[in-house]
Amino acid sequence: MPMFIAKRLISLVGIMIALTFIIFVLQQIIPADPARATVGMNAPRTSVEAKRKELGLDQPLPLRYGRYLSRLLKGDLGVSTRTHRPVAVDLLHFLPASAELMLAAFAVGITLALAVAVPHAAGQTGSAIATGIIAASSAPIFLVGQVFALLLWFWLGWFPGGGRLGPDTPAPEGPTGLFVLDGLLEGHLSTSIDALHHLALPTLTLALPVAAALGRALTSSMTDVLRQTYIRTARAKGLGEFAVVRHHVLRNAAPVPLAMVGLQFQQMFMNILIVEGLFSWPGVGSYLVKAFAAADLPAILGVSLAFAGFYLVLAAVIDVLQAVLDPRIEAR
Amino acid sequence: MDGIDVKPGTALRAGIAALGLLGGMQSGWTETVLHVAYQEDMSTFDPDNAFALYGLDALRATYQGLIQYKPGSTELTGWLAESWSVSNDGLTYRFRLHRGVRFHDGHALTASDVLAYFRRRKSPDLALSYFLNGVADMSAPDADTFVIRLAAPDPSFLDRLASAWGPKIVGPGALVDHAGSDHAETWLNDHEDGTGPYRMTEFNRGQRYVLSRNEDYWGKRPYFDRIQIEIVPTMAQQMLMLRKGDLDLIQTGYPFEQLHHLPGGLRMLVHDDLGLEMAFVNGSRRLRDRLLRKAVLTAMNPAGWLDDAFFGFATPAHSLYPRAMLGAPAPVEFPSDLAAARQIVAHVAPVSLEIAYEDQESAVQQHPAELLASALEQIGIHATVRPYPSDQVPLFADDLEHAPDLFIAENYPDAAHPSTQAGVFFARTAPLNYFAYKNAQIDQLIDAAALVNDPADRDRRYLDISKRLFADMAFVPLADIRGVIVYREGLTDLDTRPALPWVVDYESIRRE
Amino acid sequence: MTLGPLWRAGWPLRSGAGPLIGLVVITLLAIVGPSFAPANPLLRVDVPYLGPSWHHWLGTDDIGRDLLSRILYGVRLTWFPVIAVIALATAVGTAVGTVSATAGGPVELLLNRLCDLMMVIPSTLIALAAAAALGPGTWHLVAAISVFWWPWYARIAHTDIRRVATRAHVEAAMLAGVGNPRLILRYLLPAALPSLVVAASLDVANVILVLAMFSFLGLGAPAPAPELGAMTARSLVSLTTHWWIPLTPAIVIFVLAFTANLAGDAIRRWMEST
Repeated sequence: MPMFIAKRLISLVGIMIALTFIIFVLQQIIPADPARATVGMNAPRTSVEAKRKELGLDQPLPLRYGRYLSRLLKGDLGVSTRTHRPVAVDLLHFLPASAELMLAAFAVGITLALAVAVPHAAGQTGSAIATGIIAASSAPIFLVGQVFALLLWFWLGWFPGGGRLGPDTPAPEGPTGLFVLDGLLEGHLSTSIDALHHLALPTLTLALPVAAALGRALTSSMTDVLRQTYIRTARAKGLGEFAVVRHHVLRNAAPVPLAMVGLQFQQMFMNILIVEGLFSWPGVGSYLVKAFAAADLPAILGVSLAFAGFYLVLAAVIDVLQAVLDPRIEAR
Repeated sequence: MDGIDVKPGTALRAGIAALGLLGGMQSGWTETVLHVAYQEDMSTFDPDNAFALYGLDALRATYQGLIQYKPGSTELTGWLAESWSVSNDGLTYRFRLHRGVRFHDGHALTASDVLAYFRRRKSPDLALSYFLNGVADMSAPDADTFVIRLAAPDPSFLDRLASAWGPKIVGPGALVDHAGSDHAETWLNDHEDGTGPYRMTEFNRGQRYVLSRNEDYWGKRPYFDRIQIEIVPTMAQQMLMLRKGDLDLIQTGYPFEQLHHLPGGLRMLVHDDLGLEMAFVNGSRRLRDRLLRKAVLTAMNPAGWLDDAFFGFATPAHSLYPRAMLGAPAPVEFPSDLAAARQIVAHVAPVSLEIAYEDQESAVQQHPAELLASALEQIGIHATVRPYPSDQVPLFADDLEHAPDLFIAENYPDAAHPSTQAGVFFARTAPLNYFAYKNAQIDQLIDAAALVNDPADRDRRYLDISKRLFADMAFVPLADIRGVIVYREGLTDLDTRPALPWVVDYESIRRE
Repeated sequence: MTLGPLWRAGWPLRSGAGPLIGLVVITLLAIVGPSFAPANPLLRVDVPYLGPSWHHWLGTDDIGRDLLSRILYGVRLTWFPVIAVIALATAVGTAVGTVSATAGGPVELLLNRLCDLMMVIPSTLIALAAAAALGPGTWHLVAAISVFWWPWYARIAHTDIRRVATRAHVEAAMLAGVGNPRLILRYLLPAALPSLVVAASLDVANVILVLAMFSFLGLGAPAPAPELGAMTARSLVSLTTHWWIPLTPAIVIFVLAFTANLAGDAIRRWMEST
């Protein structure tokens, strides 16, 4: 096991370095003038040139890559040309909101998937559910979000339509930046409830594709497992259907959906751009969309690098988990 | 009987009082908060660095300058300066400051504070320092008097002071206590120390800004307790919020076509704006040929597509200046012979042109750009439309061979004086002269016009410049676009000013 | 006869025939639909915001263009790029997977690492880079998406070919001196084919949705191109006053993806049962 983990770590570092190189190359080929962007439109030529020198933009490529890497190691992701603040600072500011949303969406998505897949595998549901899952995974996320907003906010008024908190709720100072958690930590239950209330719609929208994809994977995976002989043995022993599913099916059906979690993270990273825009959620997604609009290269590349890095770590963790669940993988 | 002995009458009265209190609290809450939304974050709250169009209303509510424009007009009136005078040679400006003004940090305003601030504004690394170009020196001879001496006469100087982006006095609570190593630039990004009717009590990037009433304000007490500014990037969402009552007004961006279908309970305020829709022509590429430019101009005639683009909320431009800035008698005359235009195009090799606009302006510019493309198709030109990120737009001049052929934008000059328009777009060194149009004679005329004091003479000269530029087909004035604010019934005294784009006066706005 | 048994059997939606016919219909629509469009989708032909009528079956949009024509072109502008992405991704992926599985050693290691890397880079970044570097456009988007779409297929091809390469009949063929190209074509690829077909058919819906999402974010063909996602995005402001303008393109996307998903599901079940 330790060898496996060590090998995994080494390849992780290798991929990270390759990633930084790709992002650096992209930075060079995309036409934009970071110097001009920092000094503003009205600035005379001389200020732009001075800024260019300051940013080291006139130096040869390998030197610039070196500077880039050394700045990365210090946690410097560059300065956003739109907000004029370090991208790392912006990222830290907007990350908690997205983290809260993604965590909630995963939790709700996995719960929904299990809630649908388990009864389905136990034979309790008709194929209408399966079709429903397929329909849910075919709906474009902007349609889903807009429909939820219209229905549950605009017409029924059950949930707020945007933002993380209502206008009369002060933002918690909290350590985590996750308002639901911070509200509890501060002892303001009403803040947490308000945060939950605002979290509901974007979470539901973001959770739907997760639930649909995981649901499909789980149902087909569980169907496969159910056909196995050891299940017949379990049934022959007299275990009820639900017990069979809980004890045997889930554990053995887990690896495939587990891998899907990684893929869903990637997908969620894309979906969140739309969901955050729709629900005025002040997270990394809406930050990135604004960065697109302003061609704010440092922000786009910085955020993408951070997310890719996180995803790589996540993938490595999932690999290790899978190896734990199925020792056969390690042997390969 | 055990317990508290309460007479029924007392209980009843207590009950009614409690209900009344609740009711009062409820209506108190909803009545004295104004809910507003921005589509964009403010990148900074520093009045000397905030060169964007967003947030000018919040800045105006917290900071104040020496002079300002009167509501609904381009006439100047006092603000922190209760009066002022200009010397005969046009070089010295004396401002007499109001007494009893306090900064939000508690400090009383004196002329030396104003001097300290103006010195700060002049720092070259601040984006808006160019407003004080031409200032030779400044002084504070006594506590109530502030004096500026210019190097050369500048009739537009007062307008610059009144500009939405003009100098706004920042107090020592920022400039002294939080100077740091960058004259308080870092601190002023998300804090403020002004003299205005509101204090900025929350600046939560990406989420919301909260302005709370300044109880020590030296002027008239504003109506609203709090101005709550939410960041809502999608206009569709803002519109839904307005309908639902989560928002009280939308200052800008309400789609024109939707203005004709306003749901009940909403009103619109159509006001004059200094927004002028203009097309910039890249004369160094496919439109080098004068005849072809003329053909393009014929097709571009706004009379043909203006209503489709702006649904009645724009009028054909009368000159290269917004009408609220400089009135010209009649709309610009475009060549009108479409048949001749088609002929010209047919003679030239297959023409395809690129019409560009700024990506961030898509909501307003996509329509007209597509309509223009459509109009060009009518005379046989294949036109494509392409949005560009704002940062790439200044790069056009660096590579005219590959820059777009036409660029359309709605432009807002710095202030109501025509030199702020000409100096920003038409001069050779103008920062927003997107396609590097060069004409020595025009430059001379612009320089000369900038020195003229007599309004009639001045206007005549600027109009002459406009006619020449149009004849050369370098800049095409398309339309004066009206500003429209959509708001919930019951609000009044919004007090807009043409020179202040999208700004609602939070000092005066109230519910009826 | 009650509907119960029928519905439980999943007819007509889940039986293979329905969705597959749907795919054929969509393909036909993408090919010939635009020829039947009543108007030029790019030009203003009437007053904006007209409701559905005899003249304009779906009414006009916010600029006065015929909505039906735009939808018909929109289907083509969605379907062709989707097919292109799937085709490119499967072709490149299979090629890479085959090479890595047959070459073995350091080549295999390198290609596998390359696959991992490509699957990690956030796709939005590549799409934006492509759009910025090449200019916005549907085919630039196709290229950009294909660039990060193929690794999944490469993985599948690699796994299946690896598995088959160790089988007895392949080893026998190698010993008998069968040349490499023939080996690959007759023995290895056919083994990978079933998984690849299933993967591709299940993938169609994903690509539809990804393209729609990019289009919605404005990363696709520039205006006035009738791309379905973009059409929804820019007309959302009319949602409460003229709801069919933003919702119709979105629903069309849903129908396309739904049909593709059902078809993919049917193909998968068919493959598994054989």
